[in-house]
Amino acid sequence: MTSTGLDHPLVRDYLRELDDAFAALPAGQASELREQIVAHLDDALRPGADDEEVAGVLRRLGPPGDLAAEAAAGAAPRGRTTGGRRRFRPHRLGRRAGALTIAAVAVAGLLAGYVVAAGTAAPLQAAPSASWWYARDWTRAVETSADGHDQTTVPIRFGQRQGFVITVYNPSRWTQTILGPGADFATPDGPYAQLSVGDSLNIRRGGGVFRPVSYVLPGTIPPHQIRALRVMWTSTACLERGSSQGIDELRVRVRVGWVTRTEVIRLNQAWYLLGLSQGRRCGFGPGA
Amino acid sequence: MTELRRGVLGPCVLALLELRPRFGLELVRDLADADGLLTSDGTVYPLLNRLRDAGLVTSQWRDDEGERARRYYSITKTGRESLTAFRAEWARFTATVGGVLNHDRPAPAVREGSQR
Repeated sequence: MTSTGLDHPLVRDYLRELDDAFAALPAGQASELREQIVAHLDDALRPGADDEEVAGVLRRLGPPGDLAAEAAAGAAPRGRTTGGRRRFRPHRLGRRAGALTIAAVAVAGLLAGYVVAAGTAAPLQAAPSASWWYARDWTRAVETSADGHDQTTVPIRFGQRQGFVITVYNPSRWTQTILGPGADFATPDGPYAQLSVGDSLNIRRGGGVFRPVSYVLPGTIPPHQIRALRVMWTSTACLERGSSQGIDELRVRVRVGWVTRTEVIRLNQAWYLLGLSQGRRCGFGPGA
Repeated sequence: MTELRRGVLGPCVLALLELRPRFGLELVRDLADADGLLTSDGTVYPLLNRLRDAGLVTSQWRDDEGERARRYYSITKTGRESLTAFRAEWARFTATVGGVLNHDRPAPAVREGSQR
């Protein structure tokens, strides 16, 4: 098993601080930003980097609190733009109140109808085809079935990228756009992942790998069509030998018309990672 | 100067992406090469997400053989239009500020009774 820069204790400490700092951010925003920072560190740090090198990369990245503040600042409502204050003119209000009220009620009715229709659109569903993303995983996957529940399990490759791709069907007459992870989003490795949607569907026979398609986020799924949904992460879960953890649903943030909601996609099989490490230090205990 | 840097960082990101798509660290390094532009590497990512939310940038995963999957950022058509508009505005702005700072033109008179 190859070690990466993400294994370094300073990086682990930094990511823990990052999680604390991001706690106040919306889950989807925190998840995406964390994934970007992890990818940055993964690229910036060579395996076996020494303390000084790691500290330099982390220093240039900036304190986690500053990153959270920067993200929060961008999400805050914008202040008033230029153009001056509007005056309150009660006489105009009186003259137009009747017509405005009727128009407002009519528009509100139409909007409410639209929002209700969009909000009640059938949610996305998992379609049959699915696979671990990397050949190293799908060739070693163990499929099990018990009590009507299917499960696929692969060994965790600590510090390396793992993930899976499923197909998702949009049963509604609305275009649904996956915006990112929803609240309580989880992967077999934990709450953080890269989520992306294939812009077309191309299933390779045999391997079950979905290539070549471009994976994008936000990703659109037209009415009554199927698209690939890829979930990837860098495995950092600390799993004891023989223990495992996984998921059987995905919570994603989806835009339907003007409505944004969290949809729960029940997976056709549970996706699990299995701990295989022999004495690997996970960095959480006193002996780490 | 910090606020000025923050303000121009977005257009600079768009200008780099105008040349070709880049992944996160690549973008950070290119920005860091422009001395003094980047106060910390991490601030690029919230900015990228804001540009994406504004429709100026899009991202796409590439998973080339032998490489780890990376998210590449690209400029959108709207992003190009925004960049073009910013360039024109920036040229006027820098000319104006330069003129005042270097006394090339008289400072605007303060008008009595003017309101903010």
